[in-house]
Amino acid sequence: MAQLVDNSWVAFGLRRTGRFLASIVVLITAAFLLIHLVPGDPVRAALGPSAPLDLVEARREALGLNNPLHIQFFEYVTGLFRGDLGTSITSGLPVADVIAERLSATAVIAGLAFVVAILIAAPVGLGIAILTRGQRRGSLDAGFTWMSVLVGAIPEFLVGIGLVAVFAVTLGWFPVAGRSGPESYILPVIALAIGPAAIIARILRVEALAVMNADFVRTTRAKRLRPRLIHLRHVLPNTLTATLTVAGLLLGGMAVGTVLVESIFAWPGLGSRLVQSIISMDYPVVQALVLVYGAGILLINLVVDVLLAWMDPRSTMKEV
Amino acid sequence: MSQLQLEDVRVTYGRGRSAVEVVRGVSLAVDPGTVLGLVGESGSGKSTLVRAAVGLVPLSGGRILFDGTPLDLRMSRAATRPFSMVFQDPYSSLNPRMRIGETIIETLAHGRASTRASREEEVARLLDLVGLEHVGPNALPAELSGGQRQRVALARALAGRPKVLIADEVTSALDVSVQGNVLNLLRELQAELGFSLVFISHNLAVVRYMSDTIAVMNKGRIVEEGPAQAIIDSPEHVYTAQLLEAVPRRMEGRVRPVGSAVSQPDTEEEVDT
Amino acid sequence: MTSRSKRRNPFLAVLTTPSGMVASMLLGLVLLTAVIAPMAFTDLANERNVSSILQGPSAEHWAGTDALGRDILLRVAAATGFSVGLALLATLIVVVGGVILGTLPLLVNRRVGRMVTSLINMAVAFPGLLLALFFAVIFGVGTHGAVLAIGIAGIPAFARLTQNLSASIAGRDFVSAARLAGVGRIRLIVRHVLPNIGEPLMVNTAIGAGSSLLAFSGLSFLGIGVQQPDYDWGRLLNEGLEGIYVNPMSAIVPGIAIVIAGLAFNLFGEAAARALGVTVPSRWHGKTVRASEAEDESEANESALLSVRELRVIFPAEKEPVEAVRGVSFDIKHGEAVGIVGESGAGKSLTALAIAQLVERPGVVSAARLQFEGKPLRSRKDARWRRWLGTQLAVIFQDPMASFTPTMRIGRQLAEIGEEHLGLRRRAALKRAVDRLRDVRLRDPERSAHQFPHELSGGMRQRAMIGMGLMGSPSLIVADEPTTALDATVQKQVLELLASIREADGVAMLLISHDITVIRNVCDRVLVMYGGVIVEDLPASELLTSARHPYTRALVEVVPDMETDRERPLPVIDGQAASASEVGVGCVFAARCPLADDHCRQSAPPLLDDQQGRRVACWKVDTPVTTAGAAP
Repeated sequence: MAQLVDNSWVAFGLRRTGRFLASIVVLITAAFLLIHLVPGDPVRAALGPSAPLDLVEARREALGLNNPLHIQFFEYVTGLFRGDLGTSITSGLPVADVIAERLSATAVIAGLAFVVAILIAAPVGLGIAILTRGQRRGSLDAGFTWMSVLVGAIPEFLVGIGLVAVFAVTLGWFPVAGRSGPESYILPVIALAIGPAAIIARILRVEALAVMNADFVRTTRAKRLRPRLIHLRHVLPNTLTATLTVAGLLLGGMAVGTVLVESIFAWPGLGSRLVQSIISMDYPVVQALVLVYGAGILLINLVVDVLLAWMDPRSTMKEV
Repeated sequence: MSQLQLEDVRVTYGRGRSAVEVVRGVSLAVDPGTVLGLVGESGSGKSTLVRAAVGLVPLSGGRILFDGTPLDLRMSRAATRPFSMVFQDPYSSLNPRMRIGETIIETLAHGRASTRASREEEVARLLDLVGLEHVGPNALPAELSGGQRQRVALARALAGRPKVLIADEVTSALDVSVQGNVLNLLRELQAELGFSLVFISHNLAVVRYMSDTIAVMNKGRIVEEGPAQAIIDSPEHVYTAQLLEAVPRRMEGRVRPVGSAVSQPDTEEEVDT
Repeated sequence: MTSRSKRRNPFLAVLTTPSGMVASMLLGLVLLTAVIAPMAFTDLANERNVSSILQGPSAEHWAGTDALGRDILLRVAAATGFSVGLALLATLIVVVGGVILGTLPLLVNRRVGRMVTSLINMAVAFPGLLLALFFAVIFGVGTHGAVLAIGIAGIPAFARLTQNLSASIAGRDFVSAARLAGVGRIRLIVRHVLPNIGEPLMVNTAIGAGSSLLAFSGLSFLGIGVQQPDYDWGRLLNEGLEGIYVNPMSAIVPGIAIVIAGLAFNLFGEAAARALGVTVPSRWHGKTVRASEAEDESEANESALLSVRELRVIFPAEKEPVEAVRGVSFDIKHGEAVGIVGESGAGKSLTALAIAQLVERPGVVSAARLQFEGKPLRSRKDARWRRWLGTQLAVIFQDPMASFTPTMRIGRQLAEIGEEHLGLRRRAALKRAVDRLRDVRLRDPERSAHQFPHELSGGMRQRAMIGMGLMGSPSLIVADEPTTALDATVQKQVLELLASIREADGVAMLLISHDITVIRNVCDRVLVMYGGVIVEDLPASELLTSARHPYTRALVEVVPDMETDRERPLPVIDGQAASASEVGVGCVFAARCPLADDHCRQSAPPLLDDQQGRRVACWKVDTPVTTAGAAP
């Protein structure tokens, strides 16, 4: 029997890793093609119409843009393995340096935001479900729904602007922009976390209610177990699987949300640099940042899938 | 004439390591104008078998012959299809967004009636045939009961003037008191219109009532086949005997606690995945 | 069962719920503004006034002015058309692209379909904004590029949704029937699949429009979307952020506009989802029914194990509350097996659940008396009550797959009872669990205890459930359709197991089933239920010989068995089983009874006891009757 479990886990592991690698390949290809899909000459676009011709030519040569496509692709991929993520058109500096410098700033607020979102959403969502099941406390139910819809519908950049306007400009409690001491982290993290927290809380409540109406919970009531036991041991684990799926998606959204939030708070992370690069058409930087963000997302999805498989014993068998 | 023949039919689900052979080499013949009862428990493969026979599921081996000629079962509009099927779940067998008249016409359109008037006439005739003349072609499935929906499904199945009709557990989802309606109707129409009927059920008593010949299916294979009463009176295969034993009889005494002389040792069924 | 509902008009359905009304009004307001405001305010909004630059809110300019002296509020109003219009345009791309890609696997051959599906799945893994940025780079900064970028970025998610919905429809029998009839693939999609997924698609389109609006605002805010001199809310937000020190309103007002418009679309979509999907009314506005506290002690029947008088189960409904169980009374003696038989809507399952104290809100249970082992069964939920019922009353449900917790091993689920109610430690409780599994004749009890529910077969699961009920030492087993989901061969084994448990320990049983043959073979006494009431109560041995109620006799006659005459049509009962909400005054069976007359239809017969252990509710009880003949 143990052997059976091992086999299905190994099979799952292989399948999932295969999917991950396939997605990485597609991502790398898409990132590579980014420069080539842009209409016109990317170097000229980045340097501007008044830049001297020989400078444009030199940059083109340096970027290898005059080689045939498959050679460029080969160079690109081997470069990736070497850790060479390209060279910025506008500054001439290696992109890898940019990323190394800014990665932690982005990762920290994204990670913190995720933790904060879960810490808020889990007890609130589950608690509201327990309090309002069977249509008890209708006003609490309605109030929670309305509020969570409202908060969840406000995108992170608007939350960020609102927070800045109220708490930084008007009240002066927190710095308006820039990364400095711990108090400078608070507003960006809240801006990132609050929308997803509301959404997760709402979904958690819906899922918990569905589980509490499920047949197997009726069995636990027939066994006359203590309510706390029922909720923690039977309801919660079965709610987590559905919620984790959504949380995983939202975490990905949060990671990309850093692009917007960093622009508001002038946060020295990857997101603000990405926006700058898009506007200044510094394509190699854009390419590399898209790659980094994309790979981060794929990694998050992989972790979520593994967690889901571990938590739900049925899922490893049913994977397509 | 209209003889349906299955030769060593195999059906496999899934690919590679997780492939499961659900039908493992079944050979069957349905004589024209007769009723073949196909009985088996869940997981026996009987539903898959008939779906493969009509082309809804691809074969992984063997072939289907109709009137002696192999049937090309790829979907083709022009083909005059000699089969029809009535499904088990009355709530899933009709398009909730189509009026029942339209549902029936859809099957008609590939047959004889070509003008609109003649199609409408045919629909009325079919509804009359299944006892739904008072319901009318403009009804929506949501307005009908389970038994009525099965009758619409039957009318639709008959619209194509099939030579072979397959009834897959058609009364299993209905209340006991209305099952008789549908079964009587089916038997009557079969006698009147003369099509061959393949009647599938897990209920041996009902299969015995409806069929001329019975085929018993277990784990993807036919374990026994023959005239209905002969199978009931003197089963040859041990699985058939088990099935018969499990049917509660009218005259039988009470269920005996385990340990008495009559009971059989518990069989441990296979885990369903 | 008949559902006489007419097809609802979806729009009306949305509008009549309170949240739907609010959402519709809000959305209407937004759309109206989008059309009118640009026409009315554009010129005014473009008026520059050099003398009043960057002012805060004032009487003249309610939200202040921007760097060129233009009124901010007017600019926000005028931008409505552009912002909403662009969002809708992007949504159009999302929906058209998504529906085409999502239904593509149904049109093409399997291999191409799988490839399309994998591509969509890969793309869905990335958040929309990332994809939007990617395409924004390719299509270029500016309005056109942004529309294309957001549109294409939204396609994978919509395609996946469409695909999931279509796949579930494509698996339904009516699609198989159409395929059998030779219906072509295009017509299958257009006439069968799309109409049945239309409603969820429309809901998601509304929500998608909201998301597109937000995404557009985001891109414009970053400077990648709409460019000067055009302006939309995102652009205004960008300008406002620069002036936030001087005039916070310059950022807040466009922000509020975005939120309101986004909310309008989202709320509308969600209200529509609720209105179109929900069948049970969410609020009961009628009088609350309180469980009756008065106990009827007049005939305190000490010898009965279970004593039930006037049991009612009431549910809220659209117009009036529905009594699904309408005054059921009976006793069960120690060691006796009582069966309740009936068709769908009879109320038999609810009776069992109500007795087992498992009916939850919004259903309400009331009874004049509900006594078990001489004590009232009323829910008190304290530890002593729980231990009493947890060990003395066992409940077995119909679907053993759904009735076990999927994430916990079987042995542990049994052991819980030992730990909670019998004071056992974990190891001892598990050992007891394994013993019980052995008692219910699982071949390898140690192994089964270690497995998850989905790893056992149906029969094994049901036996495990019985074993779970035996962890205590129950005096009553309540079994709700315990063998309906099982094959005939397994059914027999499970029933034999129950019989041997009864014989060994003198355990009483309340068995619910629609299968009268099972009831007859297993139980001592039979209660026949129809339309929420008991119509007959008689010993099982007399079912075939001396049933008196026309329904009971009909039930016995219509079930085909191995001796049914093959030459004759099967007997039938006219009409179909009525549920409690459909019966009117008078006898519940009157609509289908061959003996019914006006008296039967107007006045319900009482359940009369003949003092010989039999009861029947029928005005015509002494009239000889033949079963309703075969009606074609």
